[in-house]
Amino acid sequence: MTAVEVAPTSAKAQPRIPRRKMRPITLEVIGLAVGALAWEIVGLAKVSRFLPPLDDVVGRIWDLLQSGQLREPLTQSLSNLLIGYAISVGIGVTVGTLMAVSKYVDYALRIYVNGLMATPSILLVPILYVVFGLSSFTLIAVIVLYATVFIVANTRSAVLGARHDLTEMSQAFGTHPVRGFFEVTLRSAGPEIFGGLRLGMGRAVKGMFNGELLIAVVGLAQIERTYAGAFDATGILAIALTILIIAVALTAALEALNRALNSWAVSHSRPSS
Amino acid sequence: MVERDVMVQVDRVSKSFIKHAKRGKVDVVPVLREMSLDIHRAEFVSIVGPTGCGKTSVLRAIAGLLPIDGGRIVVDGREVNGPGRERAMVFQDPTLLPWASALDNAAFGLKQRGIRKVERRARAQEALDLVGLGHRSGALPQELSGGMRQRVGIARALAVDPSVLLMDEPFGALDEITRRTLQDQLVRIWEQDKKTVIFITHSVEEALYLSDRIFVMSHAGHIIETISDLMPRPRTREQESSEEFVMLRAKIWEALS
Amino acid sequence: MEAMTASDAQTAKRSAPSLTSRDERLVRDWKRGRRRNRIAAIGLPLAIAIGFVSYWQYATTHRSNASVLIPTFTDFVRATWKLLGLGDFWHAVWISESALLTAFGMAVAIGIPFGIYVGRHRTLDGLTSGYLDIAVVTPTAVFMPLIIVFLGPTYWARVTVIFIFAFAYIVLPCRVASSTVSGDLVDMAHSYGAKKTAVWRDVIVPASVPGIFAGLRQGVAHAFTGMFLIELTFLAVGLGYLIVGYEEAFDPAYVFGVSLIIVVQAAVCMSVFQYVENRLSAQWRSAGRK
Repeated sequence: MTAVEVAPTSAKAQPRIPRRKMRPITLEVIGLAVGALAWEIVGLAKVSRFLPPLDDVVGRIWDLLQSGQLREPLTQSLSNLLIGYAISVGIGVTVGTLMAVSKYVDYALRIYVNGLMATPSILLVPILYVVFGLSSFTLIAVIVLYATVFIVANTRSAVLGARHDLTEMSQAFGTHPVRGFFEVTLRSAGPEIFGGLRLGMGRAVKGMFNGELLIAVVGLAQIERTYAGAFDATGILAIALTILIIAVALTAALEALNRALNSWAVSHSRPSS
Repeated sequence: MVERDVMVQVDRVSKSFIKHAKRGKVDVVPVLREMSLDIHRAEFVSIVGPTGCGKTSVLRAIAGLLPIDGGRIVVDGREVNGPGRERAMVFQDPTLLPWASALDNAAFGLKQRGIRKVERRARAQEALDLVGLGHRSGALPQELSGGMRQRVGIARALAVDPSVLLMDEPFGALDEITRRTLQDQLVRIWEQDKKTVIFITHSVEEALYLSDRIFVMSHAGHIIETISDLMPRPRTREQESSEEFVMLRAKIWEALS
Repeated sequence: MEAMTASDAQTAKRSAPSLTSRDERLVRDWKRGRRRNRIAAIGLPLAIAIGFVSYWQYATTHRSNASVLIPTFTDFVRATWKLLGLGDFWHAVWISESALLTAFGMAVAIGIPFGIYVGRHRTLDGLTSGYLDIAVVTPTAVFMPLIIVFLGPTYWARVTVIFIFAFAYIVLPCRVASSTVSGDLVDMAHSYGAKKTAVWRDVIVPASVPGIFAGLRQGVAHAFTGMFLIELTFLAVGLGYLIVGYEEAFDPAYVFGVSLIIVVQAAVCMSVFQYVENRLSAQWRSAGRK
């Protein structure tokens, strides 16, 4: 008895930490800080008039925010992004799940999903432009085009690779198959589905900016283009940095959501017997 | 006359799988070929056999997880055509929901039966107490050791109070010390309310220590030996070196080889 | 049949089908199922394609609103066919894709060794991982205007843009591949007296080959993206110039045609890399991984 009882206590004292987490996150921060410092020094040394120091760029972002110049394009871009992303998640998770559940849906769609995965999405944007014309609808369509297929593919493989032993266990205890699918199969696939959602978010931000740049010059891309026309490197970098921050923040928010919803998979290593 | 006592009746059950050989050729691999066996009420029965002899298949068929091609399985007077309330299964890998606490895992079967939260929690707690895990009811599976996880799996099956307990090599993946502890615990629990237990194992010693009757299987559900006059209960570990035990073990090994 | 029981006598009366006929039925059902699957696997996607094209053709020939620019399917096929025989088109391909080749070649030449080395170097890995993480989630296009401002509307501006589009995507899979080469394998090599360079040459680099092909595949996709974006926005030359021209001339069939041909090119490149990657990682998976 004692042997069984003692083992977990010591295990609790030293929680198992996945290897990946031991990677010093501080190094990452140092790396970014060194880069920022180098940028500042090169900027101050006036190596090129097209490379302003970092604090000028940050100052410009601050000015843009203060003066309210950023408000309208930011709302434009972000609302398109969120609508497009929501549509992508809705379609992506549904279609991906259906593909994993029904072999006929899989037969029907797999070749098209693989085809879209093997195609740089930007190449299809001129076609969307011809079809939908110059409207914010096209911008949303570009975001959906960028993000959906990745969410579909990841959801499909997540559900296919779900813990089917758990599904069978729930059957043995008389769970209704539909209920078992949602409460056990889909839930066990949760962390991997989230992986697809995170990937999709990165894609959606790209779709947002590239679409704006290419089709309707609106939103954040419009300001950046104006700065480019005026050879205003500080302005260009200010917008670039803003988008970079948005992209990183949204991805981090999604990761935080994943940690909250799927803490059982994130904070512990897989059980090993 | 014997009929009334029979709890689980496996009657000429057959099951084959299709194996896709190369070049379009198709092989039919029988895992159970007209297998029959009867298990009595309150009996602890073990099925021993080498890997791939079909012992897990017959258990899954009794559980209603594996559809059969021919024959029938009758449990407590009713023919099996899917999982049912009177049977509960303990899996080799405990297959606990990784996001649920030990208590919620133990309550899983009760929840599927629509039992109210307060009651199912009380009953699950009782089951955890029975397997000696009452103090860890809030722990997630990954915070428990392998042996503890398997005990949660047993508690989950006990909580639904089945008439037949199906155990598929439940201690197969555990180390020897943990394994013996859990065997003792299982015997103690079984002696309290004498459920019908069908226990799959590949360990001859385990089968001898636990069972009333042992079926020795060779292949495709072919039972080559049934050993019924086992040592009297209560048994002790010391008996494992007794002459009787050694002889029985030799008998099984002889049948297996 | 040694395990005869009391109930057997009773059930023996029921006529059980003989084993062989049951087996035959199993095989028959299984073959029928397989045939149905094969038909579905070809038939369903084909039905979708035919349905899509028919609808396209129908909707564009029977439209009430003539201002809609969508070409009919037949116009699109005709335009694509014409493009393939058009010298100007191939000239545009050359202008665009010579820059693509140069940039992709440079990104490969630097990215692969860099990725593999960084993957084996803990400190360097930590220092650079922040940048790579950011590069994956941020649209690379945000830096495009800066490069144009720096280098002007030149060939090398295009090369630089394509390079920065592809670089991170080549580095990342290589880094993952080399960092997951099993330590046991490296220890094994050392225990047989392999020197440092030999360990790299004989263990780490070969074990990273599937990752290299993953990098090539993702890199080429992003290289095409960079090429297309720069030509359609800041620097209208080559294929981008062609597309803009067709758009302005209201020749949407040609816009579709150019897009399709490049899609096919990119897809072929990616599929080749994907094929090699799949083949190798299937062989590699069995050994040498953590």
